[in-house]
Amino acid sequence: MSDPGGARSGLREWVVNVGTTINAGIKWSGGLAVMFGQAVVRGPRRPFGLFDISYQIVQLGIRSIPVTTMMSLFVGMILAWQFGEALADFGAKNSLGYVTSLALVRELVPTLLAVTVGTKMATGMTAELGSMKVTEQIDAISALGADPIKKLVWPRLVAASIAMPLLVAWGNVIAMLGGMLIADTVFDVPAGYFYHTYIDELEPLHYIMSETKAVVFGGLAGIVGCYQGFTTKFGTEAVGLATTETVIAVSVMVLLADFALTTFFMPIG
Amino acid sequence: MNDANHSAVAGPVSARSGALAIANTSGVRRAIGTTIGEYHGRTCARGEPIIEFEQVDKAFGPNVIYRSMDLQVRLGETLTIIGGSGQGKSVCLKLMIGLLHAEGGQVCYYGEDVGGMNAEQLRELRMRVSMVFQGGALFDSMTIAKNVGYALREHTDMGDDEIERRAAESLTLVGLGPEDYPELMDQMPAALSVGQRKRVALARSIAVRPEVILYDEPTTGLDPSNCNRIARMIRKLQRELGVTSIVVTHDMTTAWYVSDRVALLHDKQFPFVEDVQTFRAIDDPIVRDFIEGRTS
Ligand SMILES: Nc1ncnc2c1ncn2[C@@H]1O[C@H](COP(=O)(O)OP(=O)(O)OP(=O)(O)O)[C@@H](O)[C@H]1O
Ligand SMILES: [Mg+2]
Repeated sequence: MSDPGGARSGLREWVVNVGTTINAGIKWSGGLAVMFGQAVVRGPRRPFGLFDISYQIVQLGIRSIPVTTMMSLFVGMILAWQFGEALADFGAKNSLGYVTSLALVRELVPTLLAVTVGTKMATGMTAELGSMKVTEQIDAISALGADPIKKLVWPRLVAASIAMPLLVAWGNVIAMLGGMLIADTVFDVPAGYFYHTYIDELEPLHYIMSETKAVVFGGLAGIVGCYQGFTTKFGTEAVGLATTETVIAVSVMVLLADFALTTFFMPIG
Repeated sequence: MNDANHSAVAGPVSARSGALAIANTSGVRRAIGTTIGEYHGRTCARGEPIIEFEQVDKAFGPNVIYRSMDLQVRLGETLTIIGGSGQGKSVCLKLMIGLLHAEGGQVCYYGEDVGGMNAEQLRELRMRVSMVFQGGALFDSMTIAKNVGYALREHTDMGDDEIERRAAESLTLVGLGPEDYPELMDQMPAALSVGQRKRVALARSIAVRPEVILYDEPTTGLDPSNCNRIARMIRKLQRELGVTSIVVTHDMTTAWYVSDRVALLHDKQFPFVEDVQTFRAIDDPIVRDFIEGRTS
């Protein structure tokens, strides 16, 4: 192991591995971008497929309401508790509403929902489209003269970008209620006072920021989920593999996008 | 349906024009606008090549499937492709409708390169050349009726009732008509047996009354009487609707029954393409081993 030749070939292997990984990453992002482009160009043509879109919104949106509610309630409660403890030390617990609102609306609710609910949407798409791919159903759509991108990707992409902001709006309300609950019961900050301070702190731009993130995260989850499904290799275990990769891909993409959007919005706000 | 077309198409083979006239009066075909033997002003008479492979190379990475492969499919014939498992028979069918692209050479439909077609041209091609997938590839999320009517809903402005009627018609052709199976139309594919699914897939492909049908192992997994029914259906579609068929099969009985010509895939090419009589008489050990099922 200590001979220089071995070390060199080890290094070489490592460099090759890094190279292959970077290559694969670029290819993947390229493929994702191409599919997004195709969906956006071919999707909005007639017939619009409104039925498919609304069906997907119901599938992705309505079914995610319970998780959304639970996640938002708890993140609101936890954050209020954490800030409350810190503020109480300074005797400033009355400003609890001011402090929690920005963090929740601008950052925590959209991001947390994207990595939980968004991932759930995306993996569902990957599993469904992946098994269609493996059983040649996607080829069959092409063979029957229809466009799989328009038929499968477009409705999911649109539905995810519509469902996500709606869920985030709902989540924002619930998170505030969670914070209110803790403020009132644990820190003796009256619920009405918490509500006023909470709302007072928020400006229209903060809502816009929250919802913009939600649209982008929803779209990302949709396109990643579809792309992973369409590029599933042969065999049933490939579907499992593609689905697991989707979890990582969506989480990473969401965090990167979050960072990008935050750097974009912060100077404005 | 269109006399001007007919004289152009059937000029040299006027004896056949009767068959074509019947073929082109199909209601669905009229709705879709497919005329057998005519495509974008180009014509093709019976017996002339409609699909041509010219020096086709195809590989998946290091896995070479075809090397300088040539093959011609003639209008109105039934060509059977036989060959060992995993040699690329399904790939050959997918090349014809542009689901896969050749790296070298050309796959031509009416002399037009399939590899160079844009989305709109491919859509048109696929209404005329329809494929039955090896595993059926039925859409799990749709009922049988929706599956069979899929292409009609995509490409025509027929109402739901009419599509339903056409779907029932196609299902009857494959022996799954509503008289015998009253509930089948509303079932999901998962509720069907493998053989039934295969026949539904056939029905879905013939629903648009295409000019060319590519059958990927249509009889594998069926009982003898249904094998027979499918084989007879292939013949019947050819005779009555003038359909050109390409059948991939392992079942030599079906092959001899349905074929006009047989092509054997061997060593990345089609070295033997002959009409049935000639093919059966070929002395070459490769052919004899294959059709007699010997492992040399
Ligand atoms: N999309 C694809 N990507 C990579 N390899 C493929 C693809 N499609 C087919 N192959 C490979 O091409 C070869 C031929 O496949 P094909 O499905 O055409 O075989 P076949 O002759 O139809 O066999 P069978 O009789 O078992 O159906 C196989 O080795 C297969 O792994
Ligand atoms: Mg095959």
